[in-house]
Amino acid sequence: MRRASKVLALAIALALLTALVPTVATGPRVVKLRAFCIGPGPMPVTRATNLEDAARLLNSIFEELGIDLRVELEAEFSELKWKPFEEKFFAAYRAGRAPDIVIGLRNIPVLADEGVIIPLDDHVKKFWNMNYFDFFLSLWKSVEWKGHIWGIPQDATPGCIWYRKDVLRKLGYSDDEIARMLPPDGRGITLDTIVRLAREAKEAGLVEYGIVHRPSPGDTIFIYMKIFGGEVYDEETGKLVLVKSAALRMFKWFKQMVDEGLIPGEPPPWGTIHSMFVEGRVFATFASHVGTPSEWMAKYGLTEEQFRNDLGFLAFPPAVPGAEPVTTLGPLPYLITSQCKHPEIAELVLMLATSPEAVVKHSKRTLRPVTRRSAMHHPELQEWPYSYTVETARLLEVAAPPIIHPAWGKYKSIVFEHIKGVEAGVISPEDAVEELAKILKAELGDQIIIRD
Amino acid sequence: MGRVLRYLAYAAIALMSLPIVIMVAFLVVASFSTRLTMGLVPAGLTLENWSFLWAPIPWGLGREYVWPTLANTLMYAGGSTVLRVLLVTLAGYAVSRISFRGRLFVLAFQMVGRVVPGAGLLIGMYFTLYYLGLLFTIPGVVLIRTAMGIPMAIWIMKGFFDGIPWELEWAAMVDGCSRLQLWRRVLLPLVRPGIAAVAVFAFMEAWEDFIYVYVLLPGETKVMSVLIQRLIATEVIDYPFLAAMSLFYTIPPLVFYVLTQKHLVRVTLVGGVKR
Amino acid sequence: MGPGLRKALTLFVFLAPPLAVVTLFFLVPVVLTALLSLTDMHETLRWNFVGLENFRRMLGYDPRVHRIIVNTAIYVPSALAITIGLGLLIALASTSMREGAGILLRTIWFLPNLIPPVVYILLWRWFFDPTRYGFLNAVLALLGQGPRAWLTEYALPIVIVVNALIGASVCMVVFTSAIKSIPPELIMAAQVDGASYLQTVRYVILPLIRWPLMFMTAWHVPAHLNAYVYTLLLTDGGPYYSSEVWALYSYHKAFRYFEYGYGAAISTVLIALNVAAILIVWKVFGLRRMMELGGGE
Repeated sequence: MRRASKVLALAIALALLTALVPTVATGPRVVKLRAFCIGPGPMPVTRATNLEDAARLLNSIFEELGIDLRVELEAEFSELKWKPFEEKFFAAYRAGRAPDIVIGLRNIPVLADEGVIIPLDDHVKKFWNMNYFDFFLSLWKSVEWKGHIWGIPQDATPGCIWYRKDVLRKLGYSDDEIARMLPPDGRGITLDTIVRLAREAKEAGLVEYGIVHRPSPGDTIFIYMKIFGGEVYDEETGKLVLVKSAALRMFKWFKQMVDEGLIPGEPPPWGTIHSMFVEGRVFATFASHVGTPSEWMAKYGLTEEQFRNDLGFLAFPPAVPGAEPVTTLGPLPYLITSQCKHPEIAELVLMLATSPEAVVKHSKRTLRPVTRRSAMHHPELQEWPYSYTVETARLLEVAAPPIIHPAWGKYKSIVFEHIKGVEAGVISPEDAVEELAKILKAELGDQIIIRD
Repeated sequence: MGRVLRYLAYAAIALMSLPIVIMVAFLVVASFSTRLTMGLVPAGLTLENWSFLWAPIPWGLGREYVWPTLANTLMYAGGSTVLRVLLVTLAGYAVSRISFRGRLFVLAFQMVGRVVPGAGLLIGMYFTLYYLGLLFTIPGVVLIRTAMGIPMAIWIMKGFFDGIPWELEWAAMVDGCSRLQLWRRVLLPLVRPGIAAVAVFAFMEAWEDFIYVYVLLPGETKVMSVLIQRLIATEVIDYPFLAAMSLFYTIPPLVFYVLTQKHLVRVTLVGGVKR
Repeated sequence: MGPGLRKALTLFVFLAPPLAVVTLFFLVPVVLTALLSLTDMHETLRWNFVGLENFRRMLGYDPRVHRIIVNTAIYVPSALAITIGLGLLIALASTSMREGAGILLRTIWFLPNLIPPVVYILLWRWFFDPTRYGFLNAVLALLGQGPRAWLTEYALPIVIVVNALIGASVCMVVFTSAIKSIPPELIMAAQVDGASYLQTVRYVILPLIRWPLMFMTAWHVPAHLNAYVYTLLLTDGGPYYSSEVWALYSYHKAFRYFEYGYGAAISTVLIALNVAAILIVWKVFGLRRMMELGGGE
């Protein structure tokens, strides 16, 4: 009898406990979000921290308004480069464990067509007047595909030529002359000016090489084709284009540069390219964008003074009469994946992560141009070196938006392969053009138009 | 005439051996030099290049220690070795001792396994691991590496098991041992040289492996081979620094090899080739 | 439990785990490769069945295939020749010189095998570095010459040599032990009969090591056919595919361009070539013989 009553008491106690626990544990509903953020390289960590700040801000708004919801956001900033990042993302995606937000994927057409990401039209329209009205228009163009908006623009890396003013001064040019010869908008001059100056610098023994370019395919392919008078995209049909005569001029130019010793016969690896330019052993680099000085200062020992006084940049000037100077946009947007269970919340996070404050934080860290006009007047950006990000923001108005086409990546790789082949002397410029046409036709099928 | 020809031949051989000698000399000399001039001559001697042993190395914007990478490498190599030894000592015994019709089949199977290219299968392996949910994990790569080495290793173990006289087993079985106990207590100690050989091969293959870890492990999980390769590919090439790390990375297999020399000689006679 | 059943059970315990691992992680990939070659699997890991389209592309309209086949056709026999020839040469030399010198020679030539691939290639890169910091160029500088881009100009030959040396290293070991197991009386007899060294080699040594010779050849044909890691690390297919071989093309298509389906098709052809090679070996030597060779007695 005693034992039974003891057991009964215990049972009642347990029942009471289990009944109480759920009520004690009730608090605000928690939504967990995950984000993958790419560098590549260590500078743009603000991509991730801005998301975290946004989540915190959202939580404090919810608390103010008495909304019973909290957001827990885990942003992973990855050190992987573009392709390994893609691999990692898709492996997770196919396993059903994709992050809710991702930034680092660039092939929007494929992602959109295969339902990997969701369109954000409604959100952007709803909050246009509140947050999105002053983003530079070219950025919106870069996330548009088949009439929908697929991402929120986060940053831009306009491509440009960087050159060493100190080398020019050593050759005897005054600052005024330099400004005249190399205007930042690339107007009124041709590529020949750069080549001529590079030649002078090399002959004077001031530099090892005149010009270095990327060791991997990039949007500079677009630039090369355009400044040599060609096109890469046909608006009407939405297909990619190869203009053989422009390609021939381009290949001939590269061959001539290598033959003269102005461009190395084999593109050096990234680390070497950056360190050579920072050390002044190269006159001009085609491998950087307006934000690269942040990396040069953080990793390669460039001082702020050198940045201010000894370096200059300009848009890529035309190489043939009739062509226009070119800067590329190099944008990267935040995307929301289709496996996100709370897209409305994710969208709010993205909105707060691209607020003027967030944009300023990002630009201060990476020295990349601000992506919205309201940020241009922010007090923290009025002094050097941060004022630089406001100056370069003007480039976003004239920069060419990226080519949005599923086969664009392939096009770039193939053209780049041929540039390398010509530089290595393995194939002549004429043969390179023919091969290029053949391979593009084979790999891109009806998505490429080949013109003479 | 014969003499002249012979000396010419020796001269030719010496010339051909020269690159190897030079390159190995570089590995040792450069790792202790500040800079190399005139090809192989150190401009100064230093221990700076070995600083990765006690200080973090530049990586990205910051610095990272080499030790986690070393730990990963050991995990991978160790895991592969243990798994392979375990599996092939079992199978080698079966193949050697137990008589059944399928034995010939199993042997042929091993033969095929030996020659189908690891190279051509990389894609298949990638997707096999992917569908099993083991892609980008260390256990996944360990399993792949083990699977590739099993055919050859069974061959080796079979040879060693073959060398044990029947009487020993009969005696043990008459005494009431089950096959499993027999295997564990009586036979395994007797084939220790074989186990050593298999273990050395397994460890060395995994330690030196590059392509499988490069493709099947995520970028954040680094092993020594991948680390060194990425340093070569992305950072400014500083030969003395790379030489020191490479020498450090090369030493374990060398040591392992020297320690187990005698066993390996027997194995190479068994037509043993590494890849 | 009857003895037959017990035996079968024991078999199971002993063989099942290893066979399972090999089947799952070695044989299943083969099947998967063949299956993938009929799809257009790409980076988003979504695929469609495309039948033989990949093969039609390979044989019909992929303009690079021609050069790659030519490269491979040059590469395999050349590498094989160097592997066997050099291996034999060093083996003969090291056994006909003083023991100490012989051991030294063999140690030097075994080193490429002991050095991890990444390091091995780093060393060759240093040797052929196109800047003046590379060894060859540093030597040239001493002679007053400018630096040359070796890996650009001589991509395929260098790749062949670098790969073949590894094989030669292995052959040397095998041939040396084979030569050493020839009863010395036979050699002495020949020399007493007045044979020169070359004649001894030709009429006594070579016939007696015929089987290891053939086995090494049989082994290295598929080995060189499938070799791609050293090439990948050293020239990555060389400037504009000039050192690209078939095996490497499969890797490039799959893991650089994310065209897994097409890469799998290329691999399937490679596997078919390997199977063909094995069958030929089977025929020429006979399976029994091969297994005996494997046993090495």
